Amino acid sequence: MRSNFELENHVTLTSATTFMERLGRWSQSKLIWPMIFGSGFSEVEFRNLYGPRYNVEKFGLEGIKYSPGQADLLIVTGVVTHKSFVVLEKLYQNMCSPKWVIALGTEAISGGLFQNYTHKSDWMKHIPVDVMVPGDPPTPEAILRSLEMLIERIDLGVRSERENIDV
Amino acid sequence: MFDFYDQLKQEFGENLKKKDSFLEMKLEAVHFHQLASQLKNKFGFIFLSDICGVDNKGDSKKEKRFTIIYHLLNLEEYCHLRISIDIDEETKLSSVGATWPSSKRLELELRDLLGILFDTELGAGFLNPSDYGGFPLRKDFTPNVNGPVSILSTSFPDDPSIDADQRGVRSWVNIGPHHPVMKNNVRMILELEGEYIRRCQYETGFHHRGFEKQAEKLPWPTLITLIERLNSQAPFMCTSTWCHLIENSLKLQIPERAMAIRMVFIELTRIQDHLECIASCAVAAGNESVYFICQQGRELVYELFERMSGSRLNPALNCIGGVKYDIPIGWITDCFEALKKMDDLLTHIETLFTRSSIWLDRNMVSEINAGRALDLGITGPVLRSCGVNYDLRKVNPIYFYSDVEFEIPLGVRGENYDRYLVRMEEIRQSISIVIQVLDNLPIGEVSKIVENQIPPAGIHYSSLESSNGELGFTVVSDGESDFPWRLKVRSPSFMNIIALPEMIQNRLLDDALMSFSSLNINPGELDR
Amino acid sequence: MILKNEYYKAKSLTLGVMKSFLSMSYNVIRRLYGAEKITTINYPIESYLYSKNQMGLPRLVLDKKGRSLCTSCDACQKVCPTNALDISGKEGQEPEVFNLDVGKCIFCGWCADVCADKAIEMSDEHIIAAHAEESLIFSFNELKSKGRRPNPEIKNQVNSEGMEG
Repeated sequence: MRSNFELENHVTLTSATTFMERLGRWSQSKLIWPMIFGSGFSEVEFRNLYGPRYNVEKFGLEGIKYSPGQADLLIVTGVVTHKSFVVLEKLYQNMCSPKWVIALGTEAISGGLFQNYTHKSDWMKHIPVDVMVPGDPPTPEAILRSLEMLIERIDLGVRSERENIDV
Repeated sequence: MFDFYDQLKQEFGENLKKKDSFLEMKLEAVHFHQLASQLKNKFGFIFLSDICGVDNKGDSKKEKRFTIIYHLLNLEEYCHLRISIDIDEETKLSSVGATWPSSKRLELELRDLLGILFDTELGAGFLNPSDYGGFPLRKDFTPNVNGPVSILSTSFPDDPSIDADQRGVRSWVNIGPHHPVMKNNVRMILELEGEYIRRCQYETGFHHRGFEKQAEKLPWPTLITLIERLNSQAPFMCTSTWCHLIENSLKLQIPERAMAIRMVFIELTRIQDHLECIASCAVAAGNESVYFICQQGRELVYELFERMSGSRLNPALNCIGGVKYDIPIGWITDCFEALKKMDDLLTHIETLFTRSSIWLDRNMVSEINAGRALDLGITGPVLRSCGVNYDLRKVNPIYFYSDVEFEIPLGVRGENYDRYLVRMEEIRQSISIVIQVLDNLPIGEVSKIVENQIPPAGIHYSSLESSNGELGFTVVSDGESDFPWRLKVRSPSFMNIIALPEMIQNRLLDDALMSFSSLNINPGELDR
Repeated sequence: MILKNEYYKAKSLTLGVMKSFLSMSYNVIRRLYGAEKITTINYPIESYLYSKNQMGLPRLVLDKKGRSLCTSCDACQKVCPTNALDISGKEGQEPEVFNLDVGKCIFCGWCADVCADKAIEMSDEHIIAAHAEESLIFSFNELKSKGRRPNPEIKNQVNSEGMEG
């Protein structure tokens, strides 16, 4: 978002990259399978990207999957409550690694208007997030821009830094 | 209406008061439960639409801790009776579930969110107050969440009506909250014998965001930004109901051009919501091409919204006193063209679905009896598909609904196919309403400046015919402070989901998913 | 109005399948030969030109000398429903600290409605997406602008008639 942010400073690969690793990252950046969690304005807007007006298939997202074993991108939308966090944690653990997470909409990032007893404000400590998109709902162009940024991250091999995550 | 009012006056005397278009009564708790069956059988108040509980701690004018407000309706005369009861913390209330079965879900809320005691066992609700450290809607609540929150287990207690051999054949299936047909928020637990459903339980509350508690922290003018986020498919209807409530309580008359613009956008939202429901029914059956045809129709409506207000999904047009922006040049011509294209799309969908033998076979299931539907508090297209002629736009018309010509389609048996036919015909009637209003648009300004936006002290209620049913708000205000004392939402999806276990009894597993998507449950409205 | 009785009777299966197939192929061939204009927007070359009422990122308006018009009256901080604004400074002068947390902002526009000096307005910048390592808090200097402007990265802006603007 800001022009002085360098993504290369955050690359966290430890050993020299092998051919198979580079092949895996190349193929993942060309074909991504998303899975949507939650409901609200942002979920409706993401499903509208598959409609006649916008063309999200050209970024590699062919169709929405609902089974965690078949998806590698988790899109968290809507307020994450204490009750739905129980479901979110299970979904994240059942996905196969390497996997990525996008937080779509202001309600997912900080709770938006609903910062009260139901909102689990520290869900990002348990689930590492890669790209955040504010807006209520964010415009379709903003969502497509975030997918471009995600593909840059996959190409370079940047992983989000968090502790105690079982990846 | 006059004979009916005289009859009630004779029976209840001084206690009955008339305020605006409502009748109000104050009773003792014990007295009300004795009168319940008389109110239903003799005076015809067969429909219980809402129960609202208010915590009076901190209000010096009230002596007792809780006030409970029951909203009763007589559908033939359209008479709305409001009964309020004051009780202490230790009083045990008895349930009215035997007289009005629609009260069961509403009383679970009173027990879990306010801590009111009942003398019978009510069952499991959607929230466990001990997980959150208290009763959330009380005024002295401090949140204290330790560890994960509890969820229903996937099992049933033994069925006493069958023997041990049959018990061995049955198995349980969990259709979890993360599912495309269940809108990512409702969990259904089914007991199956082979492929047939014998018992069903559902669990909601995954998207409970604390809407009603949050409304007590925002001042009156900014509350409208919270109301927009109640229903993600039809936000304009929620803000229109809210503005109608505040304007009625302040006895304010908005300009005629604003009334007409509100009507146009209400009907456009209704068209978009019905198309989404038909699209999700088609996806549940496996037909993805109709989903894309409906998506084309919705994009036409989104573009009209965006030209007017700058935002695609949520036309933030309403304000107290009218509408914020006027119609730009060229919008009306584009609206007529879009409605013509919508007509072609509807003809296309009808060629594929109406009278097709595959669609009829899959959808002539899950019937609801009309009398049972009225007992359960169901409204909207689900009630009209059973054959009951009740639409708030005809019974209690606001704005210009009494001047335009339109008809109410009725179904026959209350099956999925009737709901599909009722929704398709309602889209056509909405298109004709929009064309009639835009042909005769009044001239003038679009909004009035309102300085004092605080409603006078007391209880206020207003409702509107939303795309799912009757959407209403109850507001308790004390006349002076900047924040509301209590806000309660009468949400149609919350009441319509009661029909689910009875609809899918002894049906196949595939039919359960199609029946669920034909009820058009919206998660934001369901859990608030 | 009671719906027609014939809607409940199924037509024969072969007739129904043939009619659906003809209807679908008619629509496909019409669109292939250009009967309706293409409405797909090809991001990132094109972007939709939103109307002037759009609510984008809040921006501080500058006067001719390049200073902001804000006088630290705190009205926008009090009205914000999500507490996204953080302002401190002496009354009547430019603020020392003016932070906007974009992760909490819902783009409702109340801060622009309430400002008496017309110092804050909703611009048309709507493409805001950030990596997780970036901070979403905008400070005073990043919020200044000369008013509404189109996003300079997008070359052609498309509005609803399909014409470039």
